[in-house]
Amino acid sequence: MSLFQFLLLLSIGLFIIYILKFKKAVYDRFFMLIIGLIGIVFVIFPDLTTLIAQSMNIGRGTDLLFYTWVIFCLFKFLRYESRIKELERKITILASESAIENVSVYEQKLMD
Amino acid sequence: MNEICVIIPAYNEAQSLDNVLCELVDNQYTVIVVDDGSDDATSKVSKQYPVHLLIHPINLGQGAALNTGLKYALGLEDVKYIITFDADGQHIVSDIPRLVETMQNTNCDVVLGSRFCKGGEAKNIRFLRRITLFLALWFTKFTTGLKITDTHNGLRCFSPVAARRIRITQNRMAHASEILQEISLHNLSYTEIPVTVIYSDYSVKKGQSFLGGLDILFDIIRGRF
Repeated sequence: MSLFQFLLLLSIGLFIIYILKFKKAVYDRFFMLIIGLIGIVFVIFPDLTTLIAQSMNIGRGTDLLFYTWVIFCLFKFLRYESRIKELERKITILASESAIENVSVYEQKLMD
Repeated sequence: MNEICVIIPAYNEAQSLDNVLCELVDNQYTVIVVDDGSDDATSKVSKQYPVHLLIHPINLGQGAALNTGLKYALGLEDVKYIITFDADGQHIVSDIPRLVETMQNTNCDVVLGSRFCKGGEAKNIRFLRRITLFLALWFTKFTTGLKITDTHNGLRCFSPVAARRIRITQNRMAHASEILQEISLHNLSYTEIPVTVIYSDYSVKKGQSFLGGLDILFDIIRGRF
């Protein structure tokens, strides 16, 4: 095993620990754990990526990893977009309700 | 409480708001100012007039401010005509009674102001702005099927029924297109009347650029998903 493989395995290990410790959603834990384990397998058996790539008519193992990474990033991007949109919606509702609740009406000020 | 309620979304409009409020208050309309998180004297200026002042704690956008104003207006008694009016001095107050009269005569749910229909005027409008609005008009006609001539005019009159049905989710400037989509979606009856919009150096500086128009288009497409 090369030093680089060792460093990769260490990084993936830390990533798995982070997922198990800080991610609560079952979906997140399960999905990211699977990704981590696949990563470990590919680091230990790098030729496996080439075999799988060739069986899918992709060509090289690095191309397979690259395409998979692109799909994964697109998926995460859409998920984060959806979350941001939801957060913006909630912030808007809160700000709007706060404004209405604290309305300042001129006549009321005169009466105070 | 006047049956005509005017909603003014305002962000850093202390410079122009004084004149706008003075004229609206003189006409004894019920005025709602929504300060959209301004960091100038917009609220301070508003408090000098008998208006309902709502303040967003952060800047959200004109769409969000309008939505807040509409929600609040629907809670007021005796309101029959809900007008949206810009804070930058582009609109003229004398167009308001014409909007209301048209709604009374036609029984439409929505009356839209138009710079570009016969009798309307866009004083000192820049050429690039006209092109941007033309593209917006084409896009809106294509997506909504509405027969209108001005898609981004902030001067409108809603009936309470229309104000309840229209859902504004676009916080920023895409709300104008969204309002038209909502009119189409809910089959609200609408009509247009000619109004005057005055472009001053101040209002041009605050208005949408051509690239801003592309941002609006992106927001509309994004909003559909």
